[in-house]
Amino acid sequence: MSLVDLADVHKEYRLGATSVHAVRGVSLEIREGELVSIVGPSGCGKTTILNMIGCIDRPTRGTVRFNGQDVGHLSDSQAAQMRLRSIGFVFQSFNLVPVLSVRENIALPMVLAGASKKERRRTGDHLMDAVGLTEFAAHKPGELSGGQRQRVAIARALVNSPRLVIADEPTANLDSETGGEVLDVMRRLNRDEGVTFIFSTHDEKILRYAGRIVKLRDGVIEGVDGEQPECT
Amino acid sequence: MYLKLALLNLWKYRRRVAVIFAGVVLSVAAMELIGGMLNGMRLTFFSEILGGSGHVQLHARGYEDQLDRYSAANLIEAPDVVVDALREAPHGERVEHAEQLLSFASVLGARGRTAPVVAHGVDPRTRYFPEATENIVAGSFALKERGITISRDDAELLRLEIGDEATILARMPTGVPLVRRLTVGGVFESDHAELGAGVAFMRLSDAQSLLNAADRVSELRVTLRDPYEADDFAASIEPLLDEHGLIARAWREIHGTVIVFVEIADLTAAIINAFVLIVAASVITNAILMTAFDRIATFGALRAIGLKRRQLVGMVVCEGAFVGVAGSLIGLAVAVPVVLYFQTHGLDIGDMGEFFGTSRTYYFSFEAAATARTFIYGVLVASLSALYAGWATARLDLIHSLQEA
Repeated sequence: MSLVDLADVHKEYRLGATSVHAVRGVSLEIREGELVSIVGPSGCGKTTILNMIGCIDRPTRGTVRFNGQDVGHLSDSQAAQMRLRSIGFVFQSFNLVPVLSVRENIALPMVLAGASKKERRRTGDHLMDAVGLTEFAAHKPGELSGGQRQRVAIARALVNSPRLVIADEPTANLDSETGGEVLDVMRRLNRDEGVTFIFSTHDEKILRYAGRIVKLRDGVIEGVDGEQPECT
Repeated sequence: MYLKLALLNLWKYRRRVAVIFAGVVLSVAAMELIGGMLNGMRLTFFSEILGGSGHVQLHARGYEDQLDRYSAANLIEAPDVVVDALREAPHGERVEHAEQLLSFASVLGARGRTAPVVAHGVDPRTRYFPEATENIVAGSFALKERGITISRDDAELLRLEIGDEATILARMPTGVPLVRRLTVGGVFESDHAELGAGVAFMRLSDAQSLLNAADRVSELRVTLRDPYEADDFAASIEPLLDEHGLIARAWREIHGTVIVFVEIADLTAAIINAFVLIVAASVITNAILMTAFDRIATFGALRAIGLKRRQLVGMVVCEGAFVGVAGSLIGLAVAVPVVLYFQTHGLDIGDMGEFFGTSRTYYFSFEAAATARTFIYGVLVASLSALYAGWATARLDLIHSLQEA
């Protein structure tokens, strides 16, 4: 069974009298353990698709299924619960909580999930080690470089052991070397821990990290490069 | 971590938090001061005005129609019988004290000068007229036989000192004038509007003898255990009143003007408090809103990772409540010492006291329950303001919040 299944998904935004058709009939299937990249120029609908997969936005038409469940009709509270338990997010602007330390930022989703302090500590330490930030545990985000902040965001996205991590332009605010380091971390976690990643980018140079590349233009899938793994 | 997050956010936005904090401190301090002042006013009313007048006054029927309230023409017959009845069941349980008075208009003369005075024939241990009994500046209030206690103003006017003799001129109930010589035994000084001058005290028996009104008084003054029962008590003793040809006046009737003033003052205070709360709530709400809207991106990220709307509202309310608690405590720490100072030392209100029939010095009153209420109001205003700010932030579209980053 696929982890994510988009069937003829449309998304239309109303901006006063005009409407913008951001996504036009996208159908896409993503299986567990994949590292998928959605690529395309700015405004092609990448973020909109990621938001709908991540239960942040709802399709105007069509269905978005996550793990077999139609997530287009979840209530706010159910969507929040789905994001907390099953989906991790990595944002272009990191979106860390500036007043909390690296350790606290990483553990925050576990606090929301009601994990014990001991469990938070153990998981937090493991993930800080995995993203190479152990020595920065007590630092605030403002004291870190862009790459380090994005690694904190990746660790935070993974802390509740989600089935899917969505990364929206994770390297857009980073130089190419640091962006490469961040994508290395994502690829390693995908390979070693089986985490499913979907990331969007408009940078052709980083596409080599993806197992499958979905090309998007004007809200329509233009093509897919790479083979979909066999269903396990 | 919620609390820690709230505290850290408060510190990060400390300038705006300072505005919120100042709003809470000022409003709580203002409410505490106004409350202490009004509570003092109420206590002054009960202790000074009701303490002196009693809660129910009994007079002979026809008293209300008299042109001269101090005329000795209309007196209560056999007052001992009425007092005994008041002290017995079923009224005795409600009556704390009952006393006989014979008040009459007179002229006091000495050394070729005269002064009009209202003379009160009272028990030497009277519990009424505390402004005179507790403010003796020469001699004593002991009221020896054929003795008189006068005000300092009258003593100076008539050039009288302790031990000097004065002549008192009054009219018997029949209208026949009578003159008697009395010895000055005490001089009191009071800034009370009704007791400053033109008032003298003598023994009840001397007054009755002077007016040739043995076993008759002009008034029975009653203090109840619960002053708020006065009207009910007056209604309950109607058979007794009818039997003896008496009327009863409860304190609400006696002090109608002052009560209206107290009620207006209460209403004014409620309006002022409401105004203070509304202004404080506006300032606090706006400041919290600004602080919250500065963090839309952070809130968006928190909601994206699973924070529910109500949890977000709870987090903002937690911040507001914390400022409310701390600000209210500081506000009370500023205001309570001021209230306590004026409770001990009083506030000179000048001639306003004369207008209200109280002394010139006005004492505040600290009441723990009122202070606790003020504290709760402070915390509630801050928390409700934060609740609005939290609600306004939480209802924002999540995508819009994330785009703010």
